[in-house]
Amino acid sequence: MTTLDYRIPGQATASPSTPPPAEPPRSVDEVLAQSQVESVLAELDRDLIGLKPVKQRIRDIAALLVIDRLRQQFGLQAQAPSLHMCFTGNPGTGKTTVALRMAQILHRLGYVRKGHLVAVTRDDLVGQYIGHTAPKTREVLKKAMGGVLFIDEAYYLYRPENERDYGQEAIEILLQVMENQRDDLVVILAGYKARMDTFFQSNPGLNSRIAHHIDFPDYQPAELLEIGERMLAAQNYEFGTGAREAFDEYLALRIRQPHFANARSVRNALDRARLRQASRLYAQRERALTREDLTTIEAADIRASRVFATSDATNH
Amino acid sequence: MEYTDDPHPRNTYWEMYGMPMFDLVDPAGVLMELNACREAFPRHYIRLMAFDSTRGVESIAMSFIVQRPPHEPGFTLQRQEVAGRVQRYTVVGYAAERPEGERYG
Repeated sequence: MTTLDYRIPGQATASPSTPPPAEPPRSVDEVLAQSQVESVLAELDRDLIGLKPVKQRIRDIAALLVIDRLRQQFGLQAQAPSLHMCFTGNPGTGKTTVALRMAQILHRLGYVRKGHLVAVTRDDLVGQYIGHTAPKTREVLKKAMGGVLFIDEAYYLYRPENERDYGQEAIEILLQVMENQRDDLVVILAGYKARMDTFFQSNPGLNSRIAHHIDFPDYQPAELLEIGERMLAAQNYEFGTGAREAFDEYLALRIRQPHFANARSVRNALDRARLRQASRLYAQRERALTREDLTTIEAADIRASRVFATSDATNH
Repeated sequence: MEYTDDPHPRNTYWEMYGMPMFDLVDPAGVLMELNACREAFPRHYIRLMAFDSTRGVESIAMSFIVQRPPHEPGFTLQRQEVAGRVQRYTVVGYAAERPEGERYG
């Protein structure tokens, strides 16, 4: 007898990522083997540089979920832990990246069913006229169910200067769902530390419903350099002779300038260096370019940056 | 998601509850809306309808009733004598005798 194919055309068959366990796990190792969470944690360690306190907290959360699973085998009921989180930190410290990983980890541990990440900002939650906000917020929440809702720049939700602002309505709906449907949804709020603190002061209800406040530290110059190298390697570029040192000097100068956005600034600086490399090669029309030529960022590409020029001007 | 309190099988005019839902990854979102609808209309019929845009047509791919009133009095068959001893039959729900919104207690 053949099995009937009930697939909807154009739709991939849903395949559960973890097959149902035949035997209930008894040890931490068995849970880890079944959920493959260890590989995500290892990936996190390997791919993300620095962020020690963040990684430690994620490990703690993962440990709690693993132990909770083992407790379930013995019928030890504990309330599902509240995993709503708040990520604070300066721009470019990896909040979004970690949120994405978080969704994966929670999915592997079976805490969320689908493990997708829905990233939204104020505009996606708050409507423009009366009665617009509630359906809009609810729609986003419904989309995020079974996964992680990531609200970037969450402090924009609350605008104290405008008492008729609809942001408060969105916060109330958010709170209600965060409280009542913990199993369905994990909410991660992100924003800059100082502004999130004032946001929580004016919304104490929200503060008390978020169990994990994770602060993302700024990167050290050495870490930034390493991040830069990783970024280049990912795009099949590498530093030429002296370019690494030049970039190190560049970072030292750039950090002292305003609007420094950690890893994001590194990425932008490297993008500009790539532009300069491209025009340098473009100018040499006659030359046959080797693979090495095309993949190497020279020291000159980095030293041509505006940052060096302005620092010279201020020194003199 | 739609609701009605007109039990007639030919009734196609159901009222929509809330907004249509798109791109939901998990059924929890539908269930949230369904529970809200049940609370608002505990004695109505509620049905869910599914559309599938991958087929390239905007017609219903699946539809099912998820709630019925607790007590359904059923239907009566009305006969009408017309010209030439012809009989015409009509089905009328007992519940439909009362105005909309007051049916099913």
